[in-house]
Amino acid sequence: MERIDLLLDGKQVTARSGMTILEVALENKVYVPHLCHHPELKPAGVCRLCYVELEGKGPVLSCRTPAEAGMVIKTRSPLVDEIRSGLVELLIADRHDDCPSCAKKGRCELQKIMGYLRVNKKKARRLRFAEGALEPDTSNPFFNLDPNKCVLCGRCVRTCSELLRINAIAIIGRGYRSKVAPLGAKPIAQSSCESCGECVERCPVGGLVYKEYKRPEKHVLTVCPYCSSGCRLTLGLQKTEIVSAQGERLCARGRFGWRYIYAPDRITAPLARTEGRLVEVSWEDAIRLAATHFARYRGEEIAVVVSAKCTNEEAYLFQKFARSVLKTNNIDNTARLSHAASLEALWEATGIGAATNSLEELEDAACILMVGANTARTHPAAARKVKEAAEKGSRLIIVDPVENDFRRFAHLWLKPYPGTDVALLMGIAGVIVEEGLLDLGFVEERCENFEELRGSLADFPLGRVERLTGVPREMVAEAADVFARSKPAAVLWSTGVTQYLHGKDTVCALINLALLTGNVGSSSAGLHPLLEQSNAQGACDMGCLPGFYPGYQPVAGEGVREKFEAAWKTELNPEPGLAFTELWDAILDGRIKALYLVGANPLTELPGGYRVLESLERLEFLVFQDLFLNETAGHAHLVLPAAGFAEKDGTYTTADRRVQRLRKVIEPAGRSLPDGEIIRRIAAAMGATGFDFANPAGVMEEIASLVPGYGGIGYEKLAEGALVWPAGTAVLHKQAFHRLTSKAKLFPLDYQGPEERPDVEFPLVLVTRRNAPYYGTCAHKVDGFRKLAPGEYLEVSFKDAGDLGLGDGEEVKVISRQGGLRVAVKVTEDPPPGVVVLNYNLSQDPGKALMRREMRACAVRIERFL
Amino acid sequence: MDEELAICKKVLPFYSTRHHLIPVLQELQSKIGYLPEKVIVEVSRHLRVPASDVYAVASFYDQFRLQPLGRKRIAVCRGTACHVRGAPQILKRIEAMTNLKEGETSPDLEYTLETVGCIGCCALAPCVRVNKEVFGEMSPERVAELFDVFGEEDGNA
Repeated sequence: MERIDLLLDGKQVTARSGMTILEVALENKVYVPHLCHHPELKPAGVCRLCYVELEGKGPVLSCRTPAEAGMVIKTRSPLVDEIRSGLVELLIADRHDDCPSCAKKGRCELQKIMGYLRVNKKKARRLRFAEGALEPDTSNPFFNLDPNKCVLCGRCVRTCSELLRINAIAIIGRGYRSKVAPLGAKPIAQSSCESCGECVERCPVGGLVYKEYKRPEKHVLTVCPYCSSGCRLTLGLQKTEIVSAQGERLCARGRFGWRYIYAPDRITAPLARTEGRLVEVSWEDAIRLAATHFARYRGEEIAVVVSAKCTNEEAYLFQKFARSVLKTNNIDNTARLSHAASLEALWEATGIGAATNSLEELEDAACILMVGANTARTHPAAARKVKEAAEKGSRLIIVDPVENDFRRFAHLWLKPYPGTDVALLMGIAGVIVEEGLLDLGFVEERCENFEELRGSLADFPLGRVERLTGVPREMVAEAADVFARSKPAAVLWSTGVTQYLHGKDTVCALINLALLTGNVGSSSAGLHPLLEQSNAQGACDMGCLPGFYPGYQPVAGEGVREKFEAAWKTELNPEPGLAFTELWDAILDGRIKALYLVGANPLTELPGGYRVLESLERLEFLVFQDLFLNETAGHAHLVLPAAGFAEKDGTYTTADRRVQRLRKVIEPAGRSLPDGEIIRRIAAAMGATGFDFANPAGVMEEIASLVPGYGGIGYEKLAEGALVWPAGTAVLHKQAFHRLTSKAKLFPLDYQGPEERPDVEFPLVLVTRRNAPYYGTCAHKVDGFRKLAPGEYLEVSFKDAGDLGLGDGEEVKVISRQGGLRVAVKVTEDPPPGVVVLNYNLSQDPGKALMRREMRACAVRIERFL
Repeated sequence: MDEELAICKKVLPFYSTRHHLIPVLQELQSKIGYLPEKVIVEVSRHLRVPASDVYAVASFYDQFRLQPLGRKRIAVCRGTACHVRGAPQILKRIEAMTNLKEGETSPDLEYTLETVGCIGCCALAPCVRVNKEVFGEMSPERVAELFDVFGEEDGNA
């Protein structure tokens, strides 16, 4: 970069070409008044306060004037001060100027400027326009928007569009009546605002302020506990209380979601069931109770399900406990209900059960295929990257039966009937093979099974694909053409794929597409399962899977058991175990008698068809470990209080294989303990060895020695930042796939279709969708999220609403083969005719009651109340 | 499908980019009478412009209406000539009769009351325009006649 010299206030300074005069001044610690400038935003030149005097030219706007060699600049002169003072007077003339009573006092940039320019507030009042005060918008539970204090610098609006691409707010109206507001000038809580607070962070004045603000005294870097993007979170502390969260582009969950830690209904002591009631007991009694009961059962009779929000160290200890102490492979994690299928399919195909590339690379993808992913709701950080890529010219192909806020970024939107994705994707693959659009060199050299795949593609002629999916054949062909011709192309998917019964087939079909077009093993391409929970990847990596030891080493694999028997110095059960979803039948027919649930709520997470309630009642011993009591806890014999993400040390692994440190910031609430400590105590009480680690760092040492990908990962190195497994490799499979043959596997597939098809009695297909970005982990324990959650409603297309005679807002009965519920109707453009969308928020999906084993869709009919 | 969205479906295919925003809004308003929120959302979806931006543009220009208009738009001229010949009294009288303030529309969507700068027929001052018809040489007393005329036209004064 070229360096240039210029004279600033009589001092020689050096700048890089491309910098504006304002940037040069601020970098050299010379203050120039400014409001609309923000280092992360493009220059706007709105507030006009940053005038400086440029020799030979007079006053220029420093935020929009590039610095040039030889410039002589005065940041203060009578001329520019007069301009600035006049502008500031006009700014404050119509604003609230009662600084002492303002929440922003002391941190207000306008107050600073008034001091700098010695502006006389009283004098400015002579310019006051007669119009009265505007109504502040206090509808959002986290922040207030006060137009009386707003200086219309537009930082918030530009943050929302330039940085976040949410575009919830704009400056509306004109002249005196302009103000920052969302569509329709409605209260902000009723808009598309996602409450991320990024605008509040950047507001220079008291226009946008947090409702509760406490100035943090110190900061601790940790990881956000919500989704698998693993955003770095800096928690601000006042004494021993968390008061704020900051980070680079947080979403609402990152910024405010930590508040669940302080929810008043945390479980703070162990509880044991005595005479039908849960009663507080001491930790000693609770541990003894757990240990004596667990000891009574044989390995096959007991199962452990671990939350995918536990740390790697905890997940490792849980599976070690299940395998080496309880002698069972009935160990699974809650990602079973969202993404275990993805990771298992990826493991089968490529030899590594993880995303092949990092999400950072998306911005240079020429094409992004996004399937069954409501990314803006579930992974705001990934959504932002996809939107940025689309704006840069990446062609975005979306496969989803229901439109969402990605519509203005999408190049193509395919809307297959729910549960028919396999047919659609195989149709696309068929076109790619038939038209010769495939990367033949890659397929021949690096893949196996191609002939078998080609054979099964014959079952998917476009006519059949169109009939099964409802997607016009031209669109299928166009999608194939765009996807195959744009390289590199990345594939993203989420629970809209994996929560269908045949989700694994769909994942296989997606892997086929990426392999056929040679999009694995190069940067900005690859396969990206957007995992839900913060440590879904880690929980699977750590072997909380019934068929795999840590590092995806198969239970039935040759020499694998022996390796772990030697490492753990004990005998292990050779039989692969049961998955979370397979437990319920086993409990009902008496094969499983005891269950240890850590951070799982199967009663509401599993669809009705699993008969979870009946199963729970049948259990002889149920241990429930969590931060809060829930529906499932009501059936527990023992409840153990767990610590939250800010109350323990450990590591999380993101969906793109970054291992990051989670840091203990505060002491656990009440008598709760970190999951790792609880399992350590139970293991000790059962007389097991190999659990007496001094701290999580010690556990990580053992992990690093036993899990191939995690070799070399340790707390010392993690202190400096994230580590990518394996061995810092961002792009996997560059030279060879990690299978015995070094080749990737293509999957011939059959179409099996959704569990339920509509018929005369149940003519509509219901799918569920989260309609608010506030869910997961313990989002429902955050007051503000509960207030923002818009409630459940059923979206019905205009056509179906017309046929059934339904009005907007009408309450109806939705009846499936499994159950029924009552919900209000919203008539919209989004669902295709024949499909209705049950929108819900927070953590519980009411639609599960309607379903059998499929978790996202079922056939229903709608009845009116007459 | 509802009527306004049906109009969007007809109009929007002729436009494609952000540059068409104002002409699109003009055409839709001329067909629908105003710009309801769902139309703004539809425009946003079609032109790939954020809905908040479409709303910002629509709210900036006086020519765009975000509220529906009454079937009878009463425009009282406040040009200089009309003003000196008694427009304020006429406006007051109409306000009293319709129970509306300037800029408002009656809840039954019958009347919208507005004021305009000059209609260009100062010789007839003071003037009131109702939809496209101009009534000249008005006086507070004659205001009632306006409503009689409407009554005769469609039988619901």
